[in-house]
Amino acid sequence: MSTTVSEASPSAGSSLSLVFDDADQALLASVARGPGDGPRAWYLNAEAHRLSLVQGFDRLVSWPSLRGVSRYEHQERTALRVLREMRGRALLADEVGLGKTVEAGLILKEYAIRGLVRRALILTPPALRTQWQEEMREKFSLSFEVLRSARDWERSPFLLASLDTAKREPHATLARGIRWDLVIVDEAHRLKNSLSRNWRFVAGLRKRYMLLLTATPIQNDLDELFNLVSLLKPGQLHTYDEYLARYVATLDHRVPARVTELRGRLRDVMVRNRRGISFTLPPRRVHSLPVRLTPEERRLYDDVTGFVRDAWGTSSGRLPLPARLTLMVLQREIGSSTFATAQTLAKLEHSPLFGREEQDRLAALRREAEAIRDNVKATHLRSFLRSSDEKVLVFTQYLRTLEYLRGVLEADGYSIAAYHGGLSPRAKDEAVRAFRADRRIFLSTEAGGEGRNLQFARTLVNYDLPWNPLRIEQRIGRVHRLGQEKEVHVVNLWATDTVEEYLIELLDRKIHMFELVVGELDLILGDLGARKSFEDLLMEIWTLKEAEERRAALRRLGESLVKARARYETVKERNDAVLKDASEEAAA
Amino acid sequence: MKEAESLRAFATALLEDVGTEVRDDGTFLWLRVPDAVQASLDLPGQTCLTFDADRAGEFDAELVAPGSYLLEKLLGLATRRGRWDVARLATPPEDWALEALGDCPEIGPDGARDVVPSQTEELLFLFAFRTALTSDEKREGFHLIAVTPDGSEGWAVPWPLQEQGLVPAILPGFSQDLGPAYRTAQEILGQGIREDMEIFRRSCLTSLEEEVRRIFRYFDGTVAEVKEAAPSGAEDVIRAIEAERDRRLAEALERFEPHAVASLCSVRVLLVPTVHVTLDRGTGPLAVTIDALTRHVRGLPAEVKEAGPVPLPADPPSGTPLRRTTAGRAPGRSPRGSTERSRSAASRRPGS
Repeated sequence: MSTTVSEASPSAGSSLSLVFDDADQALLASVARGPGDGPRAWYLNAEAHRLSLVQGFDRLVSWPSLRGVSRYEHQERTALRVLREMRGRALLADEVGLGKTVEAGLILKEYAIRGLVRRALILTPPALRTQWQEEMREKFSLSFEVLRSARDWERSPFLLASLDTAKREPHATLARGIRWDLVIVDEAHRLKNSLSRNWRFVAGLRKRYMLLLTATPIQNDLDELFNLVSLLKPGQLHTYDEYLARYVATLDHRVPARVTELRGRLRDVMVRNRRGISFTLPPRRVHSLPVRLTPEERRLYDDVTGFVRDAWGTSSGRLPLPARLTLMVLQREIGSSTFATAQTLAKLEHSPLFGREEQDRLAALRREAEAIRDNVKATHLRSFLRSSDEKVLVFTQYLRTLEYLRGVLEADGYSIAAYHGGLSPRAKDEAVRAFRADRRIFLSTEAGGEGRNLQFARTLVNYDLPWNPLRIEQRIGRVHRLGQEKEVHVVNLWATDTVEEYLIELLDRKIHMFELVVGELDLILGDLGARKSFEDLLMEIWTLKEAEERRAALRRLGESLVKARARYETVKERNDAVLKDASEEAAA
Repeated sequence: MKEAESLRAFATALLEDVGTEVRDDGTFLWLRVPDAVQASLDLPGQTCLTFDADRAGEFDAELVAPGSYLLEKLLGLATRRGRWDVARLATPPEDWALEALGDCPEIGPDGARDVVPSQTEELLFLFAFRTALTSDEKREGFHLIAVTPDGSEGWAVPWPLQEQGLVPAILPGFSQDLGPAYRTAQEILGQGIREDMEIFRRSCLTSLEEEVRRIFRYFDGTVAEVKEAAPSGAEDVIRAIEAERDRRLAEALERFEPHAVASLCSVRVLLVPTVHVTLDRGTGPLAVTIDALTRHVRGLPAEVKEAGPVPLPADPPSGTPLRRTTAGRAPGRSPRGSTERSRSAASRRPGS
């Protein structure tokens, strides 16, 4: 039983009681049982307690332990404001690219160090779960588990889940049964409707602190802003009818009234940093290098594609997921290198996913791939590298392609820093350091995308193109970020008449993604309205048998993207109109 | 001292104390870690540490900084050890007792003149506590309380404590019940942080009241609006709104309810040179006791403290007694204050 000493005021009923730990008695009982650890150990015990004392939120204590996080004043200011003034309940509405995720991570880390957050839930769109998980681990040393089964709710104190999954049963009930210290909702504009299942699910969670992250809290009308703020702090914007009467000027609820007063009330619960002059990035130049495959490569590409289309299309009903994923990998690899393809073909020719006849075809394809000793894209890469003497980042998705390029480039005399997912964190740090010091080329797989500051270089080569555009954006974000002072060059290598040409058509020619600020693409793709990922949509088009069908489907997807981008521009303007003066200018 | 330097000094001292060979080259600490310690710190036999995040990873250096994995391990190791200690303090060479009397504002240099101290060695118990005030924020403190073995007197002691001259000791047959002294320490601690607790409680209450008022205003207002829009037939909606209101109220209570907890970090039994002095006060002789470790003057009657117009120093050299006095001014410390104050006190202490 705990001992209690009430000392606060003469009226015991209104006083705060000091509760002593039960474990004190055990310690008292152990005294004089054998020798102690000595005066030095006693002193160090006291010093350890003293060093780990939590002392309010006068400053951020986590900075020194963060890895790969540049220290920006606006992020520090935001975290302190949320911790001190907003008491952990805030709408983080920075403009795209100013680091809302880092701000949320900082706030979480500060709470975790102080022992105030022991259970945290991050709700994200499905496509961003892995990115969040990596970022929390690499930058903040926080291990989040991705929700895979209902048991994870009890098992994992730090959990990442897609909102779409979490709001469904049995998950929703399990999630509501937990007392969360912190809930973070990314892309929180999905909570714009208070009648939606999304909104009701998040409102029903038991939580102490909550962070809502969105660059565009207003998607269509001002009701959405009311719904978001009411989730955090009901009454901050009055009741709904009062809100409409005070702050909404038109029947369609799109034009605000008493804007100054509205912004004043928002400041208590919202932080919006906007891009100041010091945050303007240098221009980005995109160089497209189309490559014509050699006859041998062309034949292999067409044969692999033929196999993929046949396997994708001949199945009665829907292909099992492992087979679909395998075929997508194969199709992506042939866009990267024949070496990556050969390795996978060697594995697949014995795979039970395929029948005997298909296995024979795969074996023949493997022999065809192994017979090719050089790739024409590498020749183009070498001639590009000879055209300048700057440091260059070369990205590929596949380790086998990386190894091939490493051999080719080292034979040419280039100094290489290789970076991939198989390296330990220390070896990764060492690779970055070597590149910064004296290596000419940083040769990296996707793992090179996250959390590394490489803006001392300014030229990036996409040796292959990931089908997930966010991955391309992450690559670019390694160099085109705060701290970059020079014009950035992005070189895209792609073979004509391949699925990569489709990618270039959609992403470069239709929505000009290479001109977007990092972060904006996500909002555009999220607005496509498709239940499938962009990769799935692309694969479905590519596996259509008839060329005319493929062209028509590509055109339709392109039109959807163009509309989504236009919608995004409108939403951006709408948010600026209402929130601009409630923002603070970020300074680098 | 900057934070990184404090951490460096702490890590070095701890690692050496557990038998690690430590070489400090100014940038890194190079370690040869004994087998028995490797598991508890999750370190290999040979490794190096850095306190600068920018150098982490160089030579496989492990980072030690707030929130880092290794610092948590080091803190865990340190707090599992040294939970109790028996030590003897050698008699300090200087005329410490007279200086302590002279430093005592209630006595002063004049009052200490011509006294003849008689020295003995006596037992003293030290209790180290960690306190935490929590609601949706947290404020912690570290407190040392000295108590006489019979529990009749106790006083707060600033940190850091003088460690010079302390040697391990053995007390054959020591079997004293620490209960009475511990209860005195609890009482002293409770009095010492009373003011902080009350300020904290009021602050939490203010936040809670504000939140509750806003919640009622919002939900009751919403119910009124619903009733106005649909005078009949909106019962389900109203019930749902009221349920949501109750849920929000429960959430607010959980967020802002204040808690104050204390836990005993360690106990120290000390054999300390102690002097008993009879002072010649105008009103008659006054017997006081001073120990060489805390240098706190015991035995001053409450009226002496209350009567004198002597201005109190901002940072007294030792905690002022709380028991048997009505004017205990021992710290209503803020968590940070405990460190800063004790440093300035230590700097004034003779021989420190």
